Amino acid sequence: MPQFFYYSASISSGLLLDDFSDLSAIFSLRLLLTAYTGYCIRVRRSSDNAELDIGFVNGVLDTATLLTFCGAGNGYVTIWYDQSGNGNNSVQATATRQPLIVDSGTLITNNSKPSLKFTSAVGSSLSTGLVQLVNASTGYFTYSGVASVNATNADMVLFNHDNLVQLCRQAGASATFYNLLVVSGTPTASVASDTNLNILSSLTKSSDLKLYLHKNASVTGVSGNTFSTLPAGTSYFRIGHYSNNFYLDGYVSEFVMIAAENETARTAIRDNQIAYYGVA
Amino acid sequence: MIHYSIFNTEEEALLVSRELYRLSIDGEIDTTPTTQYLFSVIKHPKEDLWAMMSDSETDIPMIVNKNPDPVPLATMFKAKGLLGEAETQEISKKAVPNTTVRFGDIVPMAVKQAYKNHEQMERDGWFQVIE
Repeated sequence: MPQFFYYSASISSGLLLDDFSDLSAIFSLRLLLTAYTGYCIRVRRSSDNAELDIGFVNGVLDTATLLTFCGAGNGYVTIWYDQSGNGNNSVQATATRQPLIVDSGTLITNNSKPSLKFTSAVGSSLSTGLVQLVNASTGYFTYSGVASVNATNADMVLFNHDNLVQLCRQAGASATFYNLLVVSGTPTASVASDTNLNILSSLTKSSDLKLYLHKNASVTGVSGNTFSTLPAGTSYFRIGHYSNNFYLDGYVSEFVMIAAENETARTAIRDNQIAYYGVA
Repeated sequence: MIHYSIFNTEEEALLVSRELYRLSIDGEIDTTPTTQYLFSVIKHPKEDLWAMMSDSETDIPMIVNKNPDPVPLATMFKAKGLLGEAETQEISKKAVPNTTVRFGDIVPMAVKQAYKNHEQMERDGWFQVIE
């Protein structure tokens, strides 16, 4: 009898991240870890500023409760709960900077899946407290995020682990690029950007201590830069800005961070995200 | 358009942002909201200055809850010499319960006159480059 595998042969019959260790932060609008029993997001509605925790139904965001709560108004995300079990929740306590999840009673989606809308004009962003998302001794990490940017030439930051590693979209003379930066400030790896929903992933390679940036299934963006060491401290992890500037104008649907070098996990997560989010 | 109001201490900037948000929430609905502030407060990277980032007077109207308390906000502005009695009365009339109000209608004229725009803030070194 032929065997069929869902997305990847390396994943068991549970949820996507059940088989992986060293998970340091998981932000998603779908449930990715069986052991996680908490909420997905906390939402503030515009009609009276009341807030409500929204969970999952059948492994995805409980959109029925969300839309009922928000009514005909807007819904803003005040907390994006971390599913890793580490409690590294991403929070925005300032009303005008909270990303949007419901717009005038309609769920925000990107490629037909729920997504958070970030608007640079109002500086929308989310941040954790001081957290350890990269490996505490080596600085190694693996991540995979699902995001898109709007068509402007402005520089904008997608993910920023302050003073450790940052993924941004930067405008060049004739094109724009997703750039991976580390504390030294030198662009470590680049890949051409566009306005599509993309899977953007990266990992360290300890054999020659290089950093890699990947877009979707390609390996474009392999770094030419090497490092003798990588920064490894604790810092804030931000979605959507750096230094109160370079605000993201676009969408974020998911971000998974592993505090280790794990190419097996990166490719498995990437392949799953490509299939689930319908990335071309 | 985004405007910036400069303060000498973080406490002052946060107080203004917090009290503006407190005008808009109903404590009977949620006594422990995550949201604490209406506008963002940022620090100058090199100097002891703080700026509250607000929308212009075309900002989305804020809800005024059914029991607004503008006293803490007015007290702070008065202490800084930014708000006289006549203007206090004028502003208080605009914070009507169960209505909406625009930010530009309830801050002192002296604060509005000191607004800085993004370009001015960049020239004054408030923002670092991506690195």
